[in-house]
Amino acid sequence: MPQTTLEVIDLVKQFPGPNRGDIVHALNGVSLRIEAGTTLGVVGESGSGKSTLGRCVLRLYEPTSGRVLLDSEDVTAMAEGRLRSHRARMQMVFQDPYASANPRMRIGEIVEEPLILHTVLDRPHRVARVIELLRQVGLQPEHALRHPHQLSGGQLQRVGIARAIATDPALIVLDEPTSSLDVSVRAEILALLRRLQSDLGTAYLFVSHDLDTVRATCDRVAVMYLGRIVESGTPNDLFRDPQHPYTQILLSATLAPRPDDRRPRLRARAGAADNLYLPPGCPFAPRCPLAREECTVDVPAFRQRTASHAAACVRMDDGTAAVAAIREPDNLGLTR
Amino acid sequence: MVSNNTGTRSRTVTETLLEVRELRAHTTSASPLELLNGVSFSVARGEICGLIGETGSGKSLTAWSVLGLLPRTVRVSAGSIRFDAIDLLRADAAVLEKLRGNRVGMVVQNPQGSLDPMRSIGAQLANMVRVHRGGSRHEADERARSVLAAVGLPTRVFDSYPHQLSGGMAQRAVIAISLINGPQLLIADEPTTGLDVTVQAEVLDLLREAVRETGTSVLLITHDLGIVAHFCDRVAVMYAGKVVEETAARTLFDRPEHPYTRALIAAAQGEAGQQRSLGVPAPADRDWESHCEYSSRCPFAADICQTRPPLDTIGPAHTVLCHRPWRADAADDA
Amino acid sequence: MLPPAGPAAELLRSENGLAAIGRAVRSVGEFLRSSRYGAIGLGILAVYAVIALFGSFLTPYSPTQIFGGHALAPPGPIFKFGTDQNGMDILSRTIAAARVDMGVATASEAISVVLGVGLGLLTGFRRGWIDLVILRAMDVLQAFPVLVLAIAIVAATQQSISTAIFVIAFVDIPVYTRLIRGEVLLIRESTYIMAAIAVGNPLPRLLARHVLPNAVPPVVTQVAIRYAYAIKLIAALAFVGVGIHVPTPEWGSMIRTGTPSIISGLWWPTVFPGVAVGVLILGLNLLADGLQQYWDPKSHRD
Repeated sequence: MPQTTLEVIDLVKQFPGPNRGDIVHALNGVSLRIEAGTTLGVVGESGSGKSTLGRCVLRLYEPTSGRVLLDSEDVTAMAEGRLRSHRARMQMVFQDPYASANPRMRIGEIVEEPLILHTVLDRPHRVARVIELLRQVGLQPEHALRHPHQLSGGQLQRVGIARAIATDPALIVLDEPTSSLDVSVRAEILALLRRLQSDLGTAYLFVSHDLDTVRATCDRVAVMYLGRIVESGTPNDLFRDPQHPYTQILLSATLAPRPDDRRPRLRARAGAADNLYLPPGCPFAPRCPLAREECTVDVPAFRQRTASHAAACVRMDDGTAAVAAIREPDNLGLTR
Repeated sequence: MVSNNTGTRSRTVTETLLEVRELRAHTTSASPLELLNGVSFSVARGEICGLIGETGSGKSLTAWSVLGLLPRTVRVSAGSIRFDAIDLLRADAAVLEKLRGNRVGMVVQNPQGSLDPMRSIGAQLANMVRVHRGGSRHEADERARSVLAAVGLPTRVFDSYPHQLSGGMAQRAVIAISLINGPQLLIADEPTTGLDVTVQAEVLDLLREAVRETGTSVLLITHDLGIVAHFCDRVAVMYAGKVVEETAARTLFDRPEHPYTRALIAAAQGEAGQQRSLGVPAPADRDWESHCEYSSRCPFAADICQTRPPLDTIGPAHTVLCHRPWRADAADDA
Repeated sequence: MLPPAGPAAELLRSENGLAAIGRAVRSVGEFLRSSRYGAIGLGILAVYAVIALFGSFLTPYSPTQIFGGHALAPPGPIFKFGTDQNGMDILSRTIAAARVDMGVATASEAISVVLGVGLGLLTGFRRGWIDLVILRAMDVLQAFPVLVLAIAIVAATQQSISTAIFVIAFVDIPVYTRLIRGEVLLIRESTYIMAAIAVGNPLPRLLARHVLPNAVPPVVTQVAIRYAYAIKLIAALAFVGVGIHVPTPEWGSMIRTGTPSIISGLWWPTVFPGVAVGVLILGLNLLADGLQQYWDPKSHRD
């Protein structure tokens, strides 16, 4: 019976907006579950709330409401002292390895810090563990003496991963861990993460804007739009049989590095995703080419396509949730 | 005359719009570092040519040097850049100025960075027209409005200021500015990096339409193989300051010849390569004259790779800088 | 689990005190090599420090000894820098003044750095009413013309050196507070601070290990600059009769008392102390420049 490492229940996060009284609705009731040793990919564009989700799960941002359960313990209700020591169980790998490393610390010190904070190991043992961690992520002991700016992006991201696994956490949130890296390095980092997961049994929450990355690395995927999950399932479910119009549009826009992988272009209606003035009903309704009147009244509930695959769209009920491909655009009117 | 997608015909002189030959560039410091070690590629009329590479390959520098816009710390030291019949490296400033914004347009990664924050979009567009084409203010405004519509921006953008636009809209505005005078060549340096996927798709659609209609050529600098696969006609792959493979985009994915290209494609398609993650050699350590710079990472490296790699023509309009390109070895390795 | 040799041993060694001293010495060496101006500045400061500390052994005569009948003697074999209108040897006084001036400047800068950094950290990290109160207090302090403030305090208290120290310290506290506050405001938005929190740092350690080391470098360079101002301020205060007065040697008062004589062509009572101040300030500014350059973490050559 697989155990649930992370359970998020109805998470809501609001930020104050630019003007007085404005509220940015970053998360509007997100619920999810991650089993031990598996990876959940969270995909979305800017404004979807995916990064906020990752940070709220770790309580780096305080959730406005909702609960986060790590190994059945309520992280959201913990007092600060308890929370801090609990951080050994939940770690994060950030998008930009250079920004997330203190430029004045040496690599060894960066990786040692979680050990200082959360273990009772003495110095010699900590140092030994640091060396071991560096080796685990594919770095040499010599790297421990360097400073962040002396390492390449790929190497520094490995340091970030070493730091994250130092206390053998139950959950690691990976916030676009490969987006800042060169293409040839991405695959290696993803392979490293996979290997570590199978060795250590850590659960991953993998936040990404790139469906292709997520396809290869995740056991399950959730697609977010304006602070809500609109569809979730296995990568196969989503890629072969996307139900939600937004997922379909997102897929059609994703350019796979395979010339043969030609997807018909599907377009959303014009407009930007705006989480300041959240419309009632489905968050995608203003831009959805299939929107009906009922879509603007209530937020659609999740409908199960299969046991593993669910999406929140009313059109699933009558099977009309397919967005039509657009024709090639007409003459633009540009002349020399 | 627009070249088709297969690139199987070898190009004649009249079809080539931009030709870069053995371009070399150095830093201007006391001990100069060579950043571009002899870059060669060409762009035909009406063609979308991708220049792909990773950090340190020199792809952005190459693009900037076409328009003579290198930073003060870098200088071109050898080679030639021919645009139409003009030798851009030997042209004087006045000639270059007349080309920029007129016959050659440029779009860069950060749209907000290339827009004047103090002037409305409409003003900047109209300004482009009047500087190069003259005409009355009214005519320039009319042209500006029509181009804005062509790139899919609402009319209110004419009076908007850059900070009022989202990333995608700003990038469309920049594209509008670069296309308004109907250039023969558009240089786009990572124009969609940082934009949402759906926005990127629309920006690329826009570029492709503009290209088709006007026969504008595009030199697209990118690191994204997805863009190359679906958007480019031809591709030049850069590594450590040189072009290591140049061919049609389709061919690049079907029959990649250079080990680096193969590794790049494999990585992009999700397979971890066998290469060690050593990164691109720093300019100070490079010496393409004495050996192939990729050999230290190359799984097929042999002794011969410690000599200067030759530029082989593998197929029609397909060149590789390698001692042991794939097809040549297929018989051996089978 | 025995730690292996090599980098691990190196890391271990780097923790103990001796190694820390060794590292500090090596850093200084590196700094000297990295910036010629910085090295010159440090050299000048070192010379002055020696003079300040051991001045009493270097003065040819007592700085307060009056040589009757030799008032305003020009520089010559007996009095290398000449004498002032009271007949006191200018060379001895110039040397002795180093201890006075630098002593006051160092004391006041030390106070204002400690208080300023502390307040800056507080206001940078904890927003709210404390933030507002402290900032407005800083505004008030900065609004006062220094000399007026000094005179007011002197009127209320005893005229003494410590008055001068405190006045100068007060003037500089707002400078450091705002500087640190600005740095902290920037730093707290950094991703590496979020990473440090995610790793589980409690607030004190977060401030000490992550915020402060990144906020401090601009402060140190500012110290070098403010030190120069402090010296000028001591002189200015002495000029208006606050803090230090005859016969204690102090560059500023020496310049003041010597000024009337310039018109008569008697340059030495003012020029020598003036040059002394000028060179010190030059050295401090050079040092500040060198430090600024050196402390950019991206220029580390390990």
